[in-house]
Amino acid sequence: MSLFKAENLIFRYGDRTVLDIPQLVIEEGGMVCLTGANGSGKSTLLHLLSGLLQPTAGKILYRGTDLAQSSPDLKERMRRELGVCLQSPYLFRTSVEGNVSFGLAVRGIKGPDRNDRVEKALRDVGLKDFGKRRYHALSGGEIQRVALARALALEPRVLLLDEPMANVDSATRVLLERILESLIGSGNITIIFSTHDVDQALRLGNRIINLHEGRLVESGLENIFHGSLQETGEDWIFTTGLCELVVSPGREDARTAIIPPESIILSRDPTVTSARNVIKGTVTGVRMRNGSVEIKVNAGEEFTSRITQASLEKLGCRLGQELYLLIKAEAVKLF
Amino acid sequence: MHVCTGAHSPFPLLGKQSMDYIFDAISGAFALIFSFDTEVYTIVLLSLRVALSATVVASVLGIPLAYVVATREFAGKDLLITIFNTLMALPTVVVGLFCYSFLSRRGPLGFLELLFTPSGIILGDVILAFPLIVGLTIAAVHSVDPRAKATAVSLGASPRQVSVTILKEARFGLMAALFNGFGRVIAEVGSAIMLGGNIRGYTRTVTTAIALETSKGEFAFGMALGIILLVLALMVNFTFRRLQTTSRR
Repeated sequence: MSLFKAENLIFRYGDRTVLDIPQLVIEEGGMVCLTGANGSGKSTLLHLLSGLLQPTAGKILYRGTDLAQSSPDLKERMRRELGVCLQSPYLFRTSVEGNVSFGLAVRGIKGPDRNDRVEKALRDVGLKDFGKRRYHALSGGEIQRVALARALALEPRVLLLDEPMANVDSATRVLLERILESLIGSGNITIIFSTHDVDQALRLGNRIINLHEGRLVESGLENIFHGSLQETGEDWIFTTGLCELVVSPGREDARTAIIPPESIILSRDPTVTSARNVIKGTVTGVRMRNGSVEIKVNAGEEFTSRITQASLEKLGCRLGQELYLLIKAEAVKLF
Repeated sequence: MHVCTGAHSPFPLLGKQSMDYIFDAISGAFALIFSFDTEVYTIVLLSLRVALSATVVASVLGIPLAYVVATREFAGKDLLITIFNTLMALPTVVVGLFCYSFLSRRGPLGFLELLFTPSGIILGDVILAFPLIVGLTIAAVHSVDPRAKATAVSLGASPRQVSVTILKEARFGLMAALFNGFGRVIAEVGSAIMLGGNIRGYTRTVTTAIALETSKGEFAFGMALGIILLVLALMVNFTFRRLQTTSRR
């Protein structure tokens, strides 16, 4: 059974639809990154998954159960499997220890058990001796770690983190990344976190869910181009300034074009093809990733194509080699 | 006829005899305070008992109501808050008059026989402290960072636990509400004199006694009570400052 399943999920603030996801399935285990620009709906999705917001329409199933429709007891029990860390965390006006033990206290966990869990959580985030510190005597990075410890003390099955590394220095970011990786390494936890740092998502995520203006984008984070759409004769052309793409007719106000890496075919020759876009470029990177090969080609803009190991051997591609990118007009998604 | 010369007085407009009159009153006041005069301390203890009881009752009723008003959205909310803010400055004699009309023998609550009893004074004081505590608690809850609620919910707190958490976060403002409520009722005279009747040894409070004794020319007695009232006010403020510092630490 999937961990989360969203069906026809819509969330509106007033008249504005900020999230519109027909279907989304998140399986248990590993690290799932929600990526997208500011305002893409990452935080809203995390808040919906954590139950802090209710969908305007549609539903979210947690382990097959619709939390909104379940009994208060069941809802409470399932909610308590989740650890949530909000963006720019708030610390209660008490000690670090008081903050980290909050979730345990509301669950009625007392005495040595509570102390042990608080101690362990603080140790896990590298704040072993910070228990007695007051909430206002902490740096931004330390606040973030206390908030993480506060969620970890609950020993959650699912950890939902909203931009956990948005306001921290690079040293803290590295530390937090290590903490998250070690948590995943210790097993039995699913971490879902939002970030606008594409590299970070690629580095940490077992799965990347990309959002753009509240909608799921099929691709990961590659091949996102900004520009404008023009109608020239019979064709619709998306122009980035560095590259032109023939696209299927779409919204005239589209400003972003996204191409799934799997939809870009690489060829040594400009073969006769049904693809409307045949673009010449130079290979700038080849790397293995999650069992497939990712090839970066500079053709004005940098394109990423994902092919199989067998295709790579057949293509015989190397750095600096000139290749043609074959892209069907309908593979270019406009937003 | 007494002529005020002001020749050797540190206060040029006051004569020596008039200054002596004040100094005599002050020294008489301290004599009463340090001789632990039974009547003075009976009055002070009654005032404290009445003011504390009224503050506790007004808080028990007012804080939950203020929390609900502050955290829920409903039609007329702004109007309600404005009414509470206006009632903060409710004249004490108006409350006295209002309660008197209800508690007098011919009034609808006359059967309770609360008029001219300490409970009657407490009732008036509750009505005086209630809007002040409600208004200041609403402001205190509003001042809490909205992330506090989301954080408590996200950590699994039940609605009741969330309320307690928000009120704890607002504790500095809450303390201000309680101390202001206490300060208002211990210092008021209008309602206490109308509902208590200033009966010696029974309903005579510090403020009603000051009013009465001064009118009788017992200036030293009035002064002694005035000094005690000021000391009490100072103690309350010191305690408040101390709690404020602790809560911010």
